[in-house]
Amino acid sequence: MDEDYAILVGISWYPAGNFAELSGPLNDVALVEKWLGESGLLPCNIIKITTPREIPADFDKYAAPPIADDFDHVFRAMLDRRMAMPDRVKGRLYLYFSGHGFSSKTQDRDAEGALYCANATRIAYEHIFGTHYARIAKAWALFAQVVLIMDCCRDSEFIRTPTPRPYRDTPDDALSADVPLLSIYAAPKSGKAQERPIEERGNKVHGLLTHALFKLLEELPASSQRGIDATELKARLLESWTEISGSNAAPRPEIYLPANGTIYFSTKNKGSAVTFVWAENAAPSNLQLIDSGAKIIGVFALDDSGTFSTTQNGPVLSYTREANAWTLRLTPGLYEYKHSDKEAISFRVAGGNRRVEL
Amino acid sequence: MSNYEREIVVQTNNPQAELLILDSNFRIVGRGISPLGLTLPLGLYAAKSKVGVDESETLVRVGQGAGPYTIDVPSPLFDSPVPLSATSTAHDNHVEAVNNLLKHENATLRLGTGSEIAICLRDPQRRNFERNCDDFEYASYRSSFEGFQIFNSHGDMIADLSRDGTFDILQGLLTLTLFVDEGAYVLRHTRQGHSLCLSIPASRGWTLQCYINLIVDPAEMKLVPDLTDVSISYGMMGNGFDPNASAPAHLETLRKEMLEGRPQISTFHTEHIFSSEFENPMFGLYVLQLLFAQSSSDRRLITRVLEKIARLLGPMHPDVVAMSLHYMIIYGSSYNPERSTSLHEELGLLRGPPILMASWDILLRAAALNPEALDSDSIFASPKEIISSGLFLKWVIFHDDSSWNHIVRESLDLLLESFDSDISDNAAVKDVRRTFKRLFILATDTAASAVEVVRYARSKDPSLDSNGNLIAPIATDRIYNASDMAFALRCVAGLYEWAEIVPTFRGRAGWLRRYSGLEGDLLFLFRDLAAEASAIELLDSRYVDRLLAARRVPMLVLAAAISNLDLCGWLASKIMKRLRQTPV
Repeated sequence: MDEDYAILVGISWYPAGNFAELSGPLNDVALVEKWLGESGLLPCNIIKITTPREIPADFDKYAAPPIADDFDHVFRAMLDRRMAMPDRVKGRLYLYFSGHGFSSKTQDRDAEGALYCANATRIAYEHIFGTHYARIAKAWALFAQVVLIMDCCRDSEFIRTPTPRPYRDTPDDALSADVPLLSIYAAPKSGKAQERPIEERGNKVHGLLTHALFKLLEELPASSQRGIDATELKARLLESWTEISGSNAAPRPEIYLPANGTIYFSTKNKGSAVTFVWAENAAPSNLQLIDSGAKIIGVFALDDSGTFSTTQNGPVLSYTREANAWTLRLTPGLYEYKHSDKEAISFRVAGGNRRVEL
Repeated sequence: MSNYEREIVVQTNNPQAELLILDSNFRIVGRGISPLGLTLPLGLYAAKSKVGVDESETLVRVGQGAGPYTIDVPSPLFDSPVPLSATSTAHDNHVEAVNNLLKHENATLRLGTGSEIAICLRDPQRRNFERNCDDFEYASYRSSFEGFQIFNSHGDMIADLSRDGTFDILQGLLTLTLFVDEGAYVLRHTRQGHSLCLSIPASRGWTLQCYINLIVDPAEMKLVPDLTDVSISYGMMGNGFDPNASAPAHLETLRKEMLEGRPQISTFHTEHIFSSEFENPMFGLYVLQLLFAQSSSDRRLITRVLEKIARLLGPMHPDVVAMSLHYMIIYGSSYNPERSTSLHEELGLLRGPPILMASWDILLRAAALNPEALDSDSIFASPKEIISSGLFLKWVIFHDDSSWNHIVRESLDLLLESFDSDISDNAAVKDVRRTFKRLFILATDTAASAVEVVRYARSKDPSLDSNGNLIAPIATDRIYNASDMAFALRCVAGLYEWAEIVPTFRGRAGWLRRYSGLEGDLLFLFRDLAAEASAIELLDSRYVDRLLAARRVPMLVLAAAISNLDLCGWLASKIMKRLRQTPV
């Protein structure tokens, strides 16, 4: 992880353009920074470009920070440093963006994303073309792996085309062929809130993509000794999206897997929560949990005794009991529950903090 | 098949919906269209039916048993501007209104014969204004429907939906039907100082139907038209609207699938096109687009589909011309032996832009192979700012204001006279300063004026053209390839003090609005590159290629943009220079 590097951008205010102020980007950057730190990234390798915590009283709104050059200078400096290294193709680069943005997706091309700079207006939409920078990082083989995450709200103004900045020709060393690039974009649509208070994060406002992605990295099991691979993470994120989004479900993110190789992420395998609640005055009974192979993986008493049994090393990872409720953490997947002698009912566990009234 | 497996059949009620079967670890173990048969190990599964981004899901346990196990997954109701039964956004009242819209006797305007254009703008979350409706609320709501106009191929406005359409506030609906002659038409929506355009070509015997939903813009907390999810189709004239008919449902399903992904063509699609009840050429255009995108497509099938679509829409329809050109580029001959095999002649058939973004891309490719097509009168000169998201070609028109021009010319006469005057004279100094200030304000109010100023200046003083400035060299007919273009870009980027010039008008929305997005982006790029002289060298031919690909415009448009920036850079530099020389 010593070789890993991250540039995190969070923009929450837009004084020139009067875009709605956002509450999530700075929280998102803090969340990603924490995760990166816990994953072993050195603090000196995490560069943050964010809206200042303290807004100066006197400022030129058309030069309000961060501007596009703030990012470009950091990126170019990194590029120069890496190109001076004899063995630059190592480690992983994270490019993370949170704020208002816009995207372009067409029939023949994958999505491309851009983040509005703080000095953007609806007419002068100055932006940071995140996809372009990720492509440069890959094309120049600045690192062994590149991860791009763009959690950008999009307004109704879709008449935007991101413009690439000019960079020198890709080095002719063919190293980029082995550099996997994983791109993850929020795919918002007008009318669907992309940032919202998240109860399990102390009601702090976060971008939905950022919350869901890092929630799953806490909850999912590893798919191999190296962690969870990008393909599996994509499948899980897409499957969990509606549950995590809740009733005001935003469109699923767009995820583009590496064309070559894969990327692994560390996970904590804490499982996703499901709460089973029974009526306070109900007669004592049992709840059985059944896996896909029709095997009983746990039995929980629905009474004051608090007794239970679970299979060893099974998908029931933890459990807590409060009054007339069991909150279980299960490995995400499909299960059945059987309450007393009623028919078994199928349910899915996918990060949504599901609550089942028995 | 072992005792631990079972045959299953998954079916859904929309024949084009995609079916997915996921195992208990959410891994996809089967996908296809209905009915989908496969053999699976016993266990828990999630069966999904998907249309675009919308999906429905049924969880099932596949247990032991005799015979195939059938799983029914109802197709999801999806959002659509067309009020079909299969959608989540249909209302009975909207259905009735659309049915009326598409009947001959209800045409709002009769401006020609043989073809129709029907526009339906609706609010699927319609408000009920019967109670507590005040004037402000009414006006605000009504304004969400405003700004739509229809133009003919000469650029004349022939209908204004706010004026000529039928607005039903209780139902949240604005409709308009026009009888028109066959030909090119453009639907424009004007908002916040620019117009977004869609091509809506009328074809003989058909009603071009354009449906648009209003959605909430969270930034403004008001309703705005959702122009990414527009539905454009053709229906036979006078046939009305049946929300339960299968053909429009097939069309909308395919459109949503294409909007959100890249569906594969199945036998269902081709059988539908060649079936006797097929009556929507837009479905055929979608299928053609997908067939061309699949390298394994059968040439005979493409030929048959193209023949059928050309027969339905006519050989001059811009999308038919585009598909025909694609055929010629791929196969080296025409799909129709009676049709010309000359790219130039085929491009010459164009009377307006196509409907589909894919057709536009084809036309750009064909024009690149045939540069004579790129003259200033061609359809390629018009869409300067392409919006590449979505299925349909959309372009932006940025408004200019020629009324300023005569004022600017007057100011310029004074300016030119001042070049020869003795500015040591106090009165002359004051006059020059006043002139400059006035001119500068005018120039920064409208880019069009700035361009006019420079053109006029050059015409008054031809010597200004011989100083190495690039106004004449950037004439579009002097640019032959990306290298020429890159040279022009570098020259303009390096010739003027953009780092000083751009901040002077950065906050003037009225000025910037006159620029296209491409011109605006280039301005900011020049400003940022100015900090490092060597960075300008990065504007090479590869960069030009990337820029053109990203913008989806021909070189003609980029050349015009550079020329405009050159003119304005020149003007601003002259003024700034004189201001610096003039004593305060």
